[in-house]
Amino acid sequence: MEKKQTEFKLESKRNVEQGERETRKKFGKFWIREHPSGSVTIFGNGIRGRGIYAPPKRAVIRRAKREYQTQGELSQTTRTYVKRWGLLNPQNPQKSLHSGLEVLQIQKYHPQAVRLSESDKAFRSFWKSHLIRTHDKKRLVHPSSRLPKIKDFEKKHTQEYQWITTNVGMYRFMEQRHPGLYYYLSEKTTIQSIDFNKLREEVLSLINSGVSVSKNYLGRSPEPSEKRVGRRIGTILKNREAFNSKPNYLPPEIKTFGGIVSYLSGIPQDRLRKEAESARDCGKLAEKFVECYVFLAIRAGYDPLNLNLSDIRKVSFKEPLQSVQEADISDPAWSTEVHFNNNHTRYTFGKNKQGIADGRVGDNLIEVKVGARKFTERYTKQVIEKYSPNGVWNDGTPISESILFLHQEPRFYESAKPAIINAGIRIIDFQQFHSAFSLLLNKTDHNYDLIQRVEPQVNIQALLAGHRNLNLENRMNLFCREGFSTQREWYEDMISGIIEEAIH
Amino acid sequence: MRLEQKWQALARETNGIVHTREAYLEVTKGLFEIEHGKILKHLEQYRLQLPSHYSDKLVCLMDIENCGLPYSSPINTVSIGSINGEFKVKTFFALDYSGEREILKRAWKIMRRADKVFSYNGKAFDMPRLLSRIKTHGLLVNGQSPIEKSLGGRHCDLYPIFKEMTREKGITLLDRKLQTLEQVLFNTFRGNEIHGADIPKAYHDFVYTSNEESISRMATIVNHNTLDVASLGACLEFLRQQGKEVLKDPINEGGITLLDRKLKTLEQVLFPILYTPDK
Repeated sequence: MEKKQTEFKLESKRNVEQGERETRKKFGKFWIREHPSGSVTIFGNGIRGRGIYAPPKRAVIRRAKREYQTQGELSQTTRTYVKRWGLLNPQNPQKSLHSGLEVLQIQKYHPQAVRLSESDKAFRSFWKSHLIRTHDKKRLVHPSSRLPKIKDFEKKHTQEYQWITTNVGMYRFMEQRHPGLYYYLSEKTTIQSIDFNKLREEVLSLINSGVSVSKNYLGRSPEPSEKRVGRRIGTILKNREAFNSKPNYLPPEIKTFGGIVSYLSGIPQDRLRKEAESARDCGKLAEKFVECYVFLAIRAGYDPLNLNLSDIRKVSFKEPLQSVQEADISDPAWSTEVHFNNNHTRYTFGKNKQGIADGRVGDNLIEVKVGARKFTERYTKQVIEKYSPNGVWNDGTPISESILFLHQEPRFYESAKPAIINAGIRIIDFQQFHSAFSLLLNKTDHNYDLIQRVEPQVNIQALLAGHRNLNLENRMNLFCREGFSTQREWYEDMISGIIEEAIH
Repeated sequence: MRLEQKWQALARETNGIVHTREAYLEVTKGLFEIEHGKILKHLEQYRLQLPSHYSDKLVCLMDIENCGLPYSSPINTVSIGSINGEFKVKTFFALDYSGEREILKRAWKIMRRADKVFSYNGKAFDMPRLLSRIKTHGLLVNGQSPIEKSLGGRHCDLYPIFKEMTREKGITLLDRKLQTLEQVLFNTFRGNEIHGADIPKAYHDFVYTSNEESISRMATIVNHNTLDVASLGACLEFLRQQGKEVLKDPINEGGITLLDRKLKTLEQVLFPILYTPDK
């Protein structure tokens, strides 16, 4: 009977395996294959068919010793290698750390090698008692001076730190020697560490400096001090019952994050909300600035989407200037193809999803982003899905290009920038836009000046300063507050006036 | 009219200097440049000088005009009178809404280093609004807000003192306007003035339009604010003279008893800057 092709294959494989087996040596109850580098592959009962690989002895020993010295313990990978060598222990062939260390002749690390007396000595030399006693006085003179932290102790006296944490516990150990020092140094938020008076000052300071005190912002703030305030308010909220006596007294009817902020700051909760609403006005204002630029650029004879205006010397709105990008831009038809926030800016994207763009110039989509929102992975995905130029305007025309005007500090979007650009979305950052906008406003021809006819009268310096307020995070924090509503309205009126004058 | 021309026109009417970049107007007036009917006479008559051993002290008088009653309304004018060797009134006027920050900054700079700041009805109106706006602009160091902390208890509202004083004379102050007090104390009346409630609209018109009328109305308001502070100076001097009289012989001077009861309080408030007798 003829053999099938598959049977031939199996046979040849068996032959190879047979050949390989011949290179193996018996070692106790296992088989090993030695490699020229000193490493071995171990086969046998209870071990997977292809065997397990153990790196050379000297490499594992070097690695283990280094880790014991620096970290005080072995990493997972090293443990695995040591355990594999444990299989080759003639007395105790087991896949265990103990057995492996015996084979490799590495002295086992004993945390007990550091004694209480040594830990105590290290502790006292690190936090000298006279320095702790005089620290508060010293801080009055040098506010930036600080005692070394627990983390610093861990770095400098790793073995002692480990002994303390495994045998006594850092809190107990420190309390026995310097009561109160642990809370003084620790940044952990606990009920005991919360001081209402201090927290009140911190909350007020945030509000007065224009920082948002919403749960969302404080929870995700990049600034550690702000995040800490958020954590503390969160802890109060979770343990409301614990704050029932002065000076840390919280009325029982307060049950929300905003309520606690309001109680601490003394500002009614509805006003805190108004402050948040004002931030949205800033978004609208940023859109108006972009709209104003687009119309002004068209009126001056420039391509509104090409922001390279560095070569202009004088902008006259009487007649379109001769420029490199003149082309068809001077055609009045352009002004009819520019739309901001109306039905013409509706479009379809993805699987029949509806969106409204901030603006439309020709068939190009314009979107303006403002504020301190970070481009996280999820948010970037959303942006790419919504604004990638494969959507269709509701009148049936495909979107030719999407342009994102970012009125934000670069740190918020820098990491997402490559992904957005790869998706075919053009990014115009604040600096680029602001310099083009200020060039256009500052180099206007004063003999015949469109801007001078606008009511309210345009203060160009103030307008540009207002625009800068939308970018810088610190300024934006102040500018988006309710107290600037009149000023924002004034900016909006000036911009609307310019737009109106530019169109007609 | 161009924007700069409008601002210059206002500067001409008020004798001030325009700071174009920061969009504010600064008017500085000495004692003899203030034209204010009988008030001027009072100012001249009384010596608005500090005792010689307090020559290094600075006493300020303050008044503001703003664009509405809410705390969120911007302030358009701040006048600061300073008594230190000579009497001088500085008026800072925001030429548009962007100038507010600068005028607050300048006024706050003077007030912060003053040894005493006097106002009329300032506790209820001027100071909370001024501090609210300063806070809004992020000008407070460390973001501290209460008045007591910001001025360290150096602010003194003269309204309650004069209210008590006039009540003892048998006169009731009908409102909290300084002009009402002027009528009572100095028997003078300012005509041709704009009503306080119309100031926000007048300012809005000035910022939005550029006609002659809005400029001249605004000049009147700036002048009004300067006169308010001058008048406050006269009131303070009046108080000082009254206090001295009482201090001389409080029992025998039967005619001047109005401050007897409040003298201790008054002393605590004004002392030592105004009540230490000259050497």
